[in-house]
Amino acid sequence: MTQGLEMRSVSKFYDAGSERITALDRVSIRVEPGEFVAVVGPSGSGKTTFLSIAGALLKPSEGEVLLNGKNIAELPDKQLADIRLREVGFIMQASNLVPYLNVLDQLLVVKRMAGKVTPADKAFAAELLAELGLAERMKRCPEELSGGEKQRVAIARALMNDPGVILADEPTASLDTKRAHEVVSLIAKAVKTRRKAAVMVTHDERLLSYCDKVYRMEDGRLSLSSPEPVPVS
Amino acid sequence: MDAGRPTYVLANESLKDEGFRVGDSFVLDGTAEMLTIAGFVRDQTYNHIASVFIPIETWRKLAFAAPGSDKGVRDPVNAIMLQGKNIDPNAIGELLPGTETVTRAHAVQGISGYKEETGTIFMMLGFLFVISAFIVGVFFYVLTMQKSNQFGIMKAIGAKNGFLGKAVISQVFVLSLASIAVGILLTCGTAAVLPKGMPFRLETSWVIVYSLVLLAIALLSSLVSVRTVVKIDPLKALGRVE
Repeated sequence: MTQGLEMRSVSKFYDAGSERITALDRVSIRVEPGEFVAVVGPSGSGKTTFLSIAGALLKPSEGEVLLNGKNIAELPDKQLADIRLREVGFIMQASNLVPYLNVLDQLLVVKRMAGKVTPADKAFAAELLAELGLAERMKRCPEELSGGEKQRVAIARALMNDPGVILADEPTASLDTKRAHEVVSLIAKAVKTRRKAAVMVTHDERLLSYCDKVYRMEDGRLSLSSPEPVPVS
Repeated sequence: MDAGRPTYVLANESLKDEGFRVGDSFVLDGTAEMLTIAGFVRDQTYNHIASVFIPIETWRKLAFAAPGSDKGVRDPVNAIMLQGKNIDPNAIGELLPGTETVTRAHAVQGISGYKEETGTIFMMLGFLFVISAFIVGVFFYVLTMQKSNQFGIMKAIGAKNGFLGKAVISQVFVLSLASIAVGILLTCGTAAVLPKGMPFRLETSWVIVYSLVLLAIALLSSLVSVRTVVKIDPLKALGRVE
């Protein structure tokens, strides 16, 4: 059973000349499996740093990051890549797909990185794509897809390795309102049915209704902005 | 060629291109002897000029036509060639005082202009390899740089450096192998249309050796690209670094 994501007073400092910039200031958060959390805040507030540390892309200066119960704050780079592969599903801003792979291969490459692609993996990939309404699009390349379809492929790719944690970085940045709602509702649905701990970093206040909790990031400090769960509209 | 017909000679077949046929006769510049072509031999030239093989008596008559030019040596010979295995030139040299004993390769090196000509050609070959190493290396480096964003994404979703490095090297291998094959075809095509008089021959063994060297160079130069991939920061995939 996966244990979700937990950060315990995580700080990140950057040295800029003689000055010390605090990108994250003692951030603590806990995201349970099946919980969909949003982090909002102005740009430059540390949202991306937060997501990078949660996603094992960046090491914190201080504090503990527990992914599925395992502290990843001190692991070497090589093991971090492995953690990203097995424990984290990233949904990045639109168009962050590999351009010359078709939709099905986008998913299978994740398995290829981990070792071999089995027929069961292919079946799982097809199932995920069908669930996200992409069954007809499996052999298309990213350039033939609309922005919403690309993001749905990204969601499927994030789920491909059955990770414990889903991290979404502005997943709706280049989508119109209708597509944005579609994409985020799909993320929310996948998070609920597959019991993932999910964090979405966004500017988009329209989409917060899909989330169980909303945190606000300001100058590297994270605070809960809506203690009561917002009902899903 | 036999003693009974001292003026019958074997000539290099490049003379055929100049219109000579078996049975034709000619006179060498500066001599009075009429020579008749009895047959042709292949690839026998000296300084890219056709060689003619003649009986030794006839050769003496031609080479030492001027009185006294043989310096009183009776039945002079220029060189004696020994063919066989386990011949030790030093041992033979000690047994024959007043002569010079060398290996065939050494003698070839001594031909005037030979060293200079082959030296130039091998220098050009060497530089071609160095240049191709640079071109191939830069080519794959540029390809890699153009894909650096995608490598960043791959890393962000968990690709290890080993996985991406293997991918780069195997792609370089396939591309190089295909382009070397095309190169060999083009070379063979060029060789087929080269004029006959050109001293050019395509040896299979050399084609294989140079292809392997080129492949090794391509793979080595792709290591530069692999290093770039290793250095790519997966954070790039998130668009911006705060």
